Amino acid sequence: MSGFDPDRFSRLDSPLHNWEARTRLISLFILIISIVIAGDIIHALAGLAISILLVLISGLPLSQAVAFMKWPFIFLLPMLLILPITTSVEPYLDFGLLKISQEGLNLGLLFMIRGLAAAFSALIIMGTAPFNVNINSLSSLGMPSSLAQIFLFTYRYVFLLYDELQTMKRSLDSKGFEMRSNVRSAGILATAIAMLLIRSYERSEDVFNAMLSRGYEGRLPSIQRQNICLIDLFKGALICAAAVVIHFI
Amino acid sequence: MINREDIAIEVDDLSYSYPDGTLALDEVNFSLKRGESMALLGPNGAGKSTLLLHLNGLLRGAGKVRIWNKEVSEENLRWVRGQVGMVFQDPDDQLFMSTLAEDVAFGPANMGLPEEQVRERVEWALQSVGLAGLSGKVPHHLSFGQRKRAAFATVLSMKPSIMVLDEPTSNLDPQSKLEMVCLIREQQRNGAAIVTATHDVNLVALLADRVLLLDKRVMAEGTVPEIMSQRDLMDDLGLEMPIIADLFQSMKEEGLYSGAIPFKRDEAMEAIRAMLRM
Ligand SMILES: Nc1ncnc2c1ncn2[C@@H]1O[C@H](COP(=O)(O)OP(=O)(O)OP(=O)(O)O)[C@@H](O)[C@H]1O
Ligand SMILES: [Mg+2]
Repeated sequence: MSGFDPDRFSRLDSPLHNWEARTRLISLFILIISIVIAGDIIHALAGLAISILLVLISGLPLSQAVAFMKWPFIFLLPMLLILPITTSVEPYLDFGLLKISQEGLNLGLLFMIRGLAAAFSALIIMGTAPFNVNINSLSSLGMPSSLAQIFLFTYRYVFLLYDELQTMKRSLDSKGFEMRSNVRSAGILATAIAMLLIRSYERSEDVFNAMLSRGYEGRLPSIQRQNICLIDLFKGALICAAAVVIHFI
Repeated sequence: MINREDIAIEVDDLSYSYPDGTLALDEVNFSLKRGESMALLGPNGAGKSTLLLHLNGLLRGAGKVRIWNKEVSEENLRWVRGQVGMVFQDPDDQLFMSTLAEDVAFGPANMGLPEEQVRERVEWALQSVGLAGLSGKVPHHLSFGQRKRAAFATVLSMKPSIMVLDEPTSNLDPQSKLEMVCLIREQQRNGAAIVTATHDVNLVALLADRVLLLDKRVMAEGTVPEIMSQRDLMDDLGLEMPIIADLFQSMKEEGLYSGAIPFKRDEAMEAIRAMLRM
C-alpha cells in the first residue's frame, strides 16, 4: 500500500468538489486567463482575493495552500528584485545608495500578485478532483487521447517509482547503509539508482503485458461522463462574472 | 474418443529461451479440456510463469499453442486474449487505472461491449470477489489481499472461457486463500478451463483435479492423487507432499493403513473413522 497520496484533498466535500468537472475546468481556466492579463495591481489584487476566497470555499487547508505558494513565490522573486533596479523609467524612489524605479517596482509586484493568484486557482483545479478526472475531462474537451494516456500512465508510474524508491531505501537502511561523502557511498547510491531505473523499466514492461492480455490496442476505453446540471452552469457563470468584474474595479 | 471441440488448451513441443540464453521451457506438452482445473506445480524457476505467458500469446516460443483448436498467431491475438484471461503473479502489474471500477471495466471495454453491459460486468465481477463497496477506490490504496482479488476481478469481468492464474494464493491469509479457491472452483463450475500455477501443495487438491509437474520439462502429469502421492517424485523436485497425504502415506509405509490416500480433510476424517471402527 502506498502512503503517497497527491489526490487526498480531492475527497473533501465542497461546492467546488461537487461541481461537474468540465464546467469547473473551463470556468477556472477563464478565471486564470483573466488574472494573467490583469493590467494593474488593483485588478491583480482583486483576482488574488477571489482565488483565496475560492480556496476557503473549497475547504483545502489554507496552511497547506500557502505552503504550496512558496514554489511560485521563489520562481517570481527574481522579477520582483530585478525589475525595480533595471527599469529606467522616472520617477525614481531614492534610498540614497539605491535608486528604485517606481514603474519597475509596480511591474514586479504585478507579476508576483498575478502569479500567486493564478497559482491559487490552479491549486483549486488540482485539489478538488482526482488527477484522472481532470485528465479525462480535458480529453473529453478535445485534448488528444494519446496525450491523455501519457499523463495518466505517468501518474500511475510515479506511484510505482515511489514504491520502488521506498523499497530500495528500506533495503539500504536495513543493511546499515549510511550516506557518507566518500567514493563508496557514491558508488552504492549510483548502483541503487541504476537498479531503480532497470526495475521500473521491467515493471512497466510487466504492466504493459498485463494491459495487452486484456485486449489493450492503444486506446483507453471511454469513461462515462457526469451530466452537466443547471447548478453547474450557475457556478460557471459566477466564476466567469468574477473573471470579468476584476477588470472593472 | 475425445471430442476435439472440448479441448481448450493444447501445447505441442513448446520450447522457449529468454534473450539472455536461459532455457525456461523444454519441449512441453499438455492439453486441457473444457471445465477442467489443472494445477501447475514446480519449484522456483521451473518456468511456470513463462509457460503461462505463452497461453495468451504474450511470449511466443518454438512449438505450437492451440486455444480451442486454433493455433495462436499474430492474426488471432485479439481473439485469443478474449478467450484466455490471465491473472498475473503480482497484482500491481495488473492494476493501472485510477479507480478500481475503471480497472475492472478496462477488459470488457476493450472487447467493445456497450457501456451498459460493461457496467453490469464491473458490478458483477466486483461482487463476485467481494469488493463491491470499493469500486471508486484508487487501486494502489487497497491492501495486498484486496489487490489480489481486484486483479482477479479485472480478468473475471471479461468472462474468459479459459483462466490462467499465476500463484493466486501467494501471500494471502488462510481465510483469503480458501476464498480464492472457492472463486476458482466457481469459474470451473461455470464451464471455464483453468490453469493455476502454485506452490501451495496443500491447496492443490482443493483447487484442481489434475496436476502438471514442471521443471523446464513436464516431469509428470495426472490426477491429483496419482501425482501427489508419489513422495520420491515430489522430493526430487524440492516439493512437499500435502500434509494430510504425507501422514497417510507414512502410515501406509509402516503398514498401519491400506486404503486410498486422502487429500482433503473430510476424506481423511472418513479414513480415520473407518480405522477406528476396525
Ligand atoms: N525476463 C527474463 N529474462 C531472463 N531470464 C528470465 C526472465 N524471466 C524469467 N527468466 C528465467 O527463466 C526461468 C523460468 O522463470 P519463471 O519465472 O517462468 O519461473 P517460475 O516457475 O514462474 O518461478 P517462480 O515459482 O519463482 O515464480 C528462470 O530460470 C528465470 O531465471
Ligand atoms: Mg512465477
